[in-house]
Amino acid sequence: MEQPHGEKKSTGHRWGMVIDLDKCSGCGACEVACMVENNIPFVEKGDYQRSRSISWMKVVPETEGTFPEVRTKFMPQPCMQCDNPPCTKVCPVHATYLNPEGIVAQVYWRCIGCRLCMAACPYTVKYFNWHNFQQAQPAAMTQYANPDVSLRDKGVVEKCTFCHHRLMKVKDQARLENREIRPGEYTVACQDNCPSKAIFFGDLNDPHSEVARLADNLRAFRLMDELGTQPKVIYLAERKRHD
Amino acid sequence: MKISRRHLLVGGGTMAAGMTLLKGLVPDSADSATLLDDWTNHQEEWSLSVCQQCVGGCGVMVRQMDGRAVRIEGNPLHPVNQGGLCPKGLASLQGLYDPDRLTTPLRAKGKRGSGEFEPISWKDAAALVAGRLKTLRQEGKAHTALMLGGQFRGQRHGLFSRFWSAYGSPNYLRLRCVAPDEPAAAHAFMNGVSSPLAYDLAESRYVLAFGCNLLETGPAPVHQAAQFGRLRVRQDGGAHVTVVDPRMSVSAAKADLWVPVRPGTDGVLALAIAHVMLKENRYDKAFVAAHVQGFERFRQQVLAQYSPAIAAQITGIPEDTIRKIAQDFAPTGRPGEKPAVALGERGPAYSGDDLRTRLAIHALNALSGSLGKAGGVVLQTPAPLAPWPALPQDAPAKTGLSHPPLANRDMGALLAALKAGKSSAKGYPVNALFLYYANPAFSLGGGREEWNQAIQNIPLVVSFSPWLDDSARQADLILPDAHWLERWQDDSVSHLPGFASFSAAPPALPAAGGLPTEEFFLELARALGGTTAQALPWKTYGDVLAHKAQGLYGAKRGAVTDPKGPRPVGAFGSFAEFWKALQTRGAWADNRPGNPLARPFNLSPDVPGKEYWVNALLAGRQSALGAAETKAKTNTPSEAPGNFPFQLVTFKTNTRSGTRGANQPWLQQNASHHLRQGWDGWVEINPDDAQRLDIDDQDPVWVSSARGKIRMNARLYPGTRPGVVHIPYGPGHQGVGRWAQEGENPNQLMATTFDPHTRQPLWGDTWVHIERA
Amino acid sequence: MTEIQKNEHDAVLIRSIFQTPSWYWPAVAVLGSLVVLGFGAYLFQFFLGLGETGLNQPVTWGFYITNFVFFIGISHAGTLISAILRLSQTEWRRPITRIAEVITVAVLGIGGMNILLDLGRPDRMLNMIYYGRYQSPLLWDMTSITTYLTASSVYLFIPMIPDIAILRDLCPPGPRKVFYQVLALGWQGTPRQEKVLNRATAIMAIMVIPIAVSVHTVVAFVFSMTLQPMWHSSIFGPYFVAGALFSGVAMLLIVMAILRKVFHLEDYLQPIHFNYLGLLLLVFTLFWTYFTFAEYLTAFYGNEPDEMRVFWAKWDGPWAWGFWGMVICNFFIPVIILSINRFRTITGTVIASSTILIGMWLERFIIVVPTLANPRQHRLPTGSYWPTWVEFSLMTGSFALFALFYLVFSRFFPLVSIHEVREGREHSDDIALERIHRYRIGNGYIKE
Repeated sequence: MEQPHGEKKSTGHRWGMVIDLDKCSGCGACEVACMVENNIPFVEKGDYQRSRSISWMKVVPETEGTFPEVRTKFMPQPCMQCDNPPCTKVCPVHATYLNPEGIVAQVYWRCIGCRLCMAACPYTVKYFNWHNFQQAQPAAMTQYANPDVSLRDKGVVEKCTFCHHRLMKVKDQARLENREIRPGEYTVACQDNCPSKAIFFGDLNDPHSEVARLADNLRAFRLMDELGTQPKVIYLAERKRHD
Repeated sequence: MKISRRHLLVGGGTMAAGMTLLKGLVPDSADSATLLDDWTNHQEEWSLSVCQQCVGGCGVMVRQMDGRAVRIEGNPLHPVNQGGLCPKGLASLQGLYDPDRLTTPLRAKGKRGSGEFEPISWKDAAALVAGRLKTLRQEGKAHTALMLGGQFRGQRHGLFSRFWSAYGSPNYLRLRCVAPDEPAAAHAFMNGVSSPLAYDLAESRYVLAFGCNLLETGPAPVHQAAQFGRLRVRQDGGAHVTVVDPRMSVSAAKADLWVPVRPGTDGVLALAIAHVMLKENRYDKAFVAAHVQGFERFRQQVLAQYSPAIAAQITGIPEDTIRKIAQDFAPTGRPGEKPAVALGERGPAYSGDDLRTRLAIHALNALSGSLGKAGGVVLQTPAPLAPWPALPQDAPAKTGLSHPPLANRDMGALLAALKAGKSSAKGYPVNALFLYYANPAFSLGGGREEWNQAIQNIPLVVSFSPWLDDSARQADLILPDAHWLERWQDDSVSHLPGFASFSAAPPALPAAGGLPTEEFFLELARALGGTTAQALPWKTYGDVLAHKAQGLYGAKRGAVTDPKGPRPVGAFGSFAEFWKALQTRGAWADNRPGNPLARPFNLSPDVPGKEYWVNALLAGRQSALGAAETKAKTNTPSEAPGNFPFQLVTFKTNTRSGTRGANQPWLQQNASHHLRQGWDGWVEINPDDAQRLDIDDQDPVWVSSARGKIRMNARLYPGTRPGVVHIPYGPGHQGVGRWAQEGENPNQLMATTFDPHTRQPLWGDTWVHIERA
Repeated sequence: MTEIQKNEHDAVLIRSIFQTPSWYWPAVAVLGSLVVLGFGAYLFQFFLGLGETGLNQPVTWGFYITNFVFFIGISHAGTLISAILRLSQTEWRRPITRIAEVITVAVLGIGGMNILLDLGRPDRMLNMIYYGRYQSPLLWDMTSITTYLTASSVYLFIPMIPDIAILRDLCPPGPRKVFYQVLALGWQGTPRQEKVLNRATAIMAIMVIPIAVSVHTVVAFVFSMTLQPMWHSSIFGPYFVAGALFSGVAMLLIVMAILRKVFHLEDYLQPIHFNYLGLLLLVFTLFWTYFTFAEYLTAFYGNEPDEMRVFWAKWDGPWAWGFWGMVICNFFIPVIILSINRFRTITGTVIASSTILIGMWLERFIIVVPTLANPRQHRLPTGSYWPTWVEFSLMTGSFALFALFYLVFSRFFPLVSIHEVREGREHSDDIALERIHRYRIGNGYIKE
């Protein structure tokens, strides 16, 4: 039986993202916002052309048809943060795992770089540090590194963490003030900077949250749902266009 | 084993000895304390600014840790972007910390253009420039100083024009392909407006965008994207968006309908739409009766000449499509119906007849009666900034200003004047050239050679560029401007639907060594003394902004954004309080739509040219079409180079941010999203054309025009009209920095032709030949 | 002691141990320098990162994983073949068991090494033990391969004890004698020792078979446990095992032919051996073809879009050269050569084996790379892969290391089991007769 996308999986928080493809303007701000936030190094032309760039968030185009009946769709793809992740199962060293709040974590300092998780991920959203990209950046450019996020060395796999460091911060703050995390307190960088406000983020377990509401939308779908990976990134399909 | 006290003591002693030996390897307690302090007591600070990676005027917040900018994001309170920020804005920290940015003044060593420079002090540099300007003034040659400004924002423009007026030169010119703070010529002719029109897209019923790549490179891309997001989720189902563009841009891809018009024929398409509306009586008769002049003449000519059948031939768009657009665009007269807008800002210009094309597009707004309505074409009431004080002028200034300017926004004329020097009748040689936010060697059609030739006789060329860009390489003196996060930054965005906004923020970071050019000019004015100094009495640019902001406070209009909701200006006790709030909250905004119909809308304005504009447009396009057909006929794979069967249309993606943003690797890497192509330039070809030329995706090709030849990779993109090729504009700098030099600049291929009326470069009139390299 | 020297036949088996052939050191030098080249390439990769290879996103695996699967496959040659032949008391096995077992031990190490070459952080490989979790097929691999390596080393060693004892007795005093003394474990050839030895060998032979099967099964599981198109297949375990036996026998034939020539083992490795192994190879050829057919037909018939993208990429897409190369090398050429008696000569089997080795390497490559290049995420551009000099050097180094291992082994131990051959020479007639008598019809019912 098909369950609604916002299905309740566990008690406690279950972080999820909703991306409204109808609102998305394909601008790619989410990609760069993520790069700034998560210390994602740029790669030089050579490695770029060999397809080694890292982009935790990636606006993926799909062009169909021939002139003049052409259609290009854009789909921003972060890690899908599956509830049943194919990548965590195969990790030999417990370097990637599903944390209790539904975030697929990656432990950079434990990863041995076997890339089995990359091969196992049907979404191709895990990225490998083919070189020490971080070290290749000019010294001046290391100044803008975000101190909240660790830098990755060569030879390890990395991926979208739903800006996990922000959750840590928000939790610390809440603990300090002896309260629960407020709805909307934990946000992610791509969502914050989205010009058309197409990205929503929040607790899928909270029935009042916007993501939970949108996840029950008739337009909601999940990528490769048939694989049973149960992603927590939920898309809202583009509406049928006026004819 | 039992551990006795003795064991413990001995063990402790051994450990102490060991520790002593290790001392030097391990930090001692005092060091640890400092380390701990470093780890725990970060100075975190947030400061505001206004993004200068394009003209959009988005408010940004910069997060600083111990004086380093570590994050930049949209200011959620800012009325323009409401927290959003585009890739350019987000990547701007790479410009701030660019290892190739210049932070000390440089003087050319040896021959100009040799690329060798030596550092000099700011004091010497200022003395050098002041000395030269003083001399020119004394010799009665004040008018021979020329300053070229580019796409910069804020009150600096007023400051510079004031400086040059006080100094005595009429030659302060700005070169911009889009001037979002000035009305389009067509709008001025038809509406008689003096500020730019804006489009209330979010509340519109039908958006008909001619060429305008709203979502990527419109005048305010982030604001437009936000409007797009809103119009898509509106309760009534949202607006229908139609994009007319030979290339399927991102905006066209996201639109409901893409109309792949033949380049340069947008105006004909617009008038064919008008034809259908008029013929089927689908226009807003009440509005026309009340507000429109010159209607009859327009109606007759359009009905006589622009039948969809003729337009279909010229534009390449089927008659049915034209009819359908017209019928959907036209008002139905249902009560409460939202208006439809037609816009063409930054779109079909550069191709064909710029002015008449824009007149044709704007005419549709009159027929649909969308002017002055929410969801239609609106005008904002300008921000009531304090006027500049009276300008003191002495005799040399008056003499200088009595000379005619070398050119008036017309790059073609300026180039000619620079090349001619003394030889032309009303011309005169330029003795000092200042380049601010201008890189003509890159951005001019014809490219470097053209420019370098034009400036070869100018004795002093000064560039304020903080990068050693294409034009700065040819300068005698480089006085690097500070990064925009290192200077006072203001913006008064004037093309937004219904509201005016003004932002001002102090430097977010200390300058790395560059000097804000506006501060340099204030300094220069003081050094020149006399009326020049009197004209610019402010100590810093911040004082200039405070002066301008006093007008806002005095007018008691609008509100300052605030987390608790906008705070009306009247609620502030003093100017100081208001000024402080403005700097710390990001923006003042006034939601007061102006009336774009200060005078009746004229469909038959008196525009330059002998013929009635409606007639002239068709005649021009028809002859252009004939020429194009002749060219296209030679389009065979075996043809010899020298025939140019493909029309070249350049475009920009939302990751190209002008010369000052050219050296940012994140932007290079994410250059395009529709093809996922990074780093290099590329040429987009229709797959059928490519097949005929035996070109595969990613094959290197030579693109040659009558002017030049460049090599790049071909990308097969079905969103390309057959017979047209597209090259993105932005890559291929000579200079700027290590990353900006990747790719090729299509300007090397471009013809330098300008629209005779709007002075816009007609970049669409370039024809090229493609062959596999 | 003198027994061996008296018998001219067996003297050839230990000649290489006590006399260095003239080509020996040059061969070691050439192979050694290839290994050093590989090592240099590895250092390069180690310090600069895996970006020095041709690997990329999404083709994150390439030559190293291909070689890993290939070498592990070869390892089945040995131990499994020798164990099966031993248990079935096949008489002609005697001169080839050792050769086969040495292949196993050598390539297992090299195969395992190839997986380490592929690691982004080889410095952290002990995390496999610290943090190892048995949910991961890689842990299964690690366990299986180390077990197999241990078992096959023991299985190589035990039957070698009598031979070591012979060497111990022949060796003049010195460190080398001590070496043999230690390894001989006091072998005197007493009946009790013979009995223990035979029993131990039999036990190991039985144990080693399921381990060997498990090894290639779990190697296949690394792929088939993911959801990726044309990997996620239940046939993969047996398919890989069949392929492993196939390539293993082919490698065995080639090694036999080379050793026969360079160590003058013509008396021991006779055309009949090649003929029999050639027939076995033919059986495996057909087996492999059957599996391949079943695998591809299932994918094709199901017509699942993601699977079909990979399928077509192999059939007539960018990887067609590999696919059709594999079919030609693994099916057409071997079947033609091996099914015609006249061609099943030493030369014939060696040619067939060589194409099979190439074909099986291509098979591994065509399994690993096209699936990665065409992931389910079809909106992304199709991946491509071409190795750099680093991978080529390390592949050459891997093969050189294999040959070098053989050369070094030949300096210390006889390549053909003296003990077994002698046993065969002395007792095989009786054993064979007794066996035939047991089941020959007309001899009456013999109660076991």
